[in-house]
Amino acid sequence: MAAMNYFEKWLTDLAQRQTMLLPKAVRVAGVRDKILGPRSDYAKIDVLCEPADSLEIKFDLPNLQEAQQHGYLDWAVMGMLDVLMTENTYPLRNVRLTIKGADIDSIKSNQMAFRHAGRNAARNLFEAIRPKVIPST
Amino acid sequence: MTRLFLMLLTLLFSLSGPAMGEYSDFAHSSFAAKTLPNVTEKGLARIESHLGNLGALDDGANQAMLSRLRSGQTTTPDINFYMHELKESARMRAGLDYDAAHKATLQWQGIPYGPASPAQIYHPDVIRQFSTEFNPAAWPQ
Repeated sequence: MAAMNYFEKWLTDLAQRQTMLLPKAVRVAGVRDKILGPRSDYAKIDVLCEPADSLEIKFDLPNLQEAQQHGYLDWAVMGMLDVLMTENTYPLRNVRLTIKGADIDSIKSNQMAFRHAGRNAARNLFEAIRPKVIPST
Repeated sequence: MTRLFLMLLTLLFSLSGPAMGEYSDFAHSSFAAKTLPNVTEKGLARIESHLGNLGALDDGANQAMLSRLRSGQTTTPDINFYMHELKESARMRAGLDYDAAHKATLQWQGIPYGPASPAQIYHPDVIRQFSTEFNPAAWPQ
């Protein structure tokens, strides 16, 4: 019996499943600030997330050249997608992500720190749009 | 004169002993930087405890360095990692916060604090393996 290629099946499912909808525009921050023993991680991003017809990525920040030098913004976007695509029942694919700010530490920043910052930003987005129970008066 | 000498000697040991943290497995203070220490299981356990307290024990690069030390590697970055973590851990037990302990330990090791400093504490093979987790200034040429 041939073994199912679960990885391919998982990827196909992720790409084909209907997207969840973003109900409103939300601006969120994502931070990675962690001590790792002989070294530390630091990265911070500021992202405007808006409803869209498909996935759109934009960069609109004053230190664009510095942030792109080592691919930090790409890693931040991948970090956001890590969470946007898998955290909820349906992936959030129809969204415009505009990175408005990237805080880079000349000593502590690295690519994976930005990926973690992206994941944190996406989790903060879901927290911001989560329906809240309004206490009855 | 002898009394003055003894007082100075006492002062010297009070600064380099308990205040700096004592290790049973390698020489004290600045001598440690010049002599090759014995890597012991006790020292490695202390490092694991220190990294665990920082929430950094499961970090892949740290695990790779610990694995290198356990397999008997004694290149300069291997020993620097071992010494750095022991000394940093001792300084934190003596009351310093992480940032102060880390920078003082780098200074003690003669490693400038900067984006490339991890290149002297992690072996190049480990940095290559986990390159996305290091500042590009620390990447091997």
